[in-house]
Amino acid sequence: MKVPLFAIVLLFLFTRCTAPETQISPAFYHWRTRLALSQTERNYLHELNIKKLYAKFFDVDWSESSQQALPQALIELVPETLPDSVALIPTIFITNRTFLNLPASEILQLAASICDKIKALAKAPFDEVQLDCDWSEKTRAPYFQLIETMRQNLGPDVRLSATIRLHQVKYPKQTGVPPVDRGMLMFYNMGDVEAGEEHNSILNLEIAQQYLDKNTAQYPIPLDVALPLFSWGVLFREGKMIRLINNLTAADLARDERLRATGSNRFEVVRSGYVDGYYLYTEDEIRIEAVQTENLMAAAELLKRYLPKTAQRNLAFYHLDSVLLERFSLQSINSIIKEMK
Amino acid sequence: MNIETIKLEIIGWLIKLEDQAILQKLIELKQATELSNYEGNLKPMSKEEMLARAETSNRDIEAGGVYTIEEVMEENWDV
Repeated sequence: MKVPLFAIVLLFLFTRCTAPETQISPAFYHWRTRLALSQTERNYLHELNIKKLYAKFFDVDWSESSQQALPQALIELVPETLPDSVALIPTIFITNRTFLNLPASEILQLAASICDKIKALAKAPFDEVQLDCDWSEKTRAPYFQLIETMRQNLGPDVRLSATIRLHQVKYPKQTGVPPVDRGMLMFYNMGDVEAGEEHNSILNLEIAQQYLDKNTAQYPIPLDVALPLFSWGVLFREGKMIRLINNLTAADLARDERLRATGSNRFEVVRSGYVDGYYLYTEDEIRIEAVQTENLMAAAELLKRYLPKTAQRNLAFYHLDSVLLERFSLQSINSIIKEMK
Repeated sequence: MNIETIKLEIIGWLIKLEDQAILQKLIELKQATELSNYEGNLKPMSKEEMLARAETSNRDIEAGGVYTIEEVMEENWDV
């Protein structure tokens, strides 16, 4: 049977018109210890209508000296710099070695300690807590048990979310799915930062594409997304990656006579000296890694195609820092948000 | 004056310095700088975690191995 062309066109238009847009709730991460927002940072929160700030409250790490899990780098809140319209989401980074060392009998106590510490630091009610741990096969069981214990401790009014990596989305059966209400897919640092031939380890959509397929939409919990705004210089000495230098840009290095450009984002030191506080030697190499608005828009477009459908999705930018925001106008961030819808 | 000359001048001054209060302030400045570096490098990724550890080891060696940055940053669970 022949189907008239106009019917196909009508069907196409109808589908286009009725496909529901996902409501995108933009957010930021705050990853510094002192939370005292600048005027620029507050302005971005206001203009972008940001309602959520994922604020790192503290890290949890295994202390070799005291042989216990301890909090580190507690947040120092300066509440008057935080707009009333923005809710803080306490975010806790837990190292894998914490779970590798922690006796199973101490998980309940650690969960209680973390919850108590969050409540003490928050100074105000909160309705979500996010846990950030790059769990492995060995640490999955204690990490998931910690989450379940925290849920009991925090009660039904507090949602739990957890950061998720690309490989965990691709292999949920092998890696497990954390017992949380939502996952935050960390869509960055997907390349091999230590490899000399890597072009940009922060955002590499060819690599990302390898982790996204038709099964991605079947991930069993709703997924939010975190996109990177940061940049850094990757320093190589004698072919080996030895250091990351934060916020370094190609423009910074292009102006320095002691360096010679060897590619669009690569430089070689031709005369030893200090660069951004680090002493660099002749023949050291620096690869600048950064993301541009168009890269993030392409990332948003890719994610939109593969992620599980949801009525509402949080889109968090990593991270809120006046220095980083100099490279991203309000308009460019808005365009990325629109692309995710 | 280039940075190497400035550093040598500071080292020369530091060797002769006996004032405990100034030394204490310098220690605080050192710790604040280390804190800043720690924050800058500890991003929520395992690879970065590993890199931060490497950075910590470097700083520990440079500092004479007295305290690691983790020990400096360590808190307790008291609320």
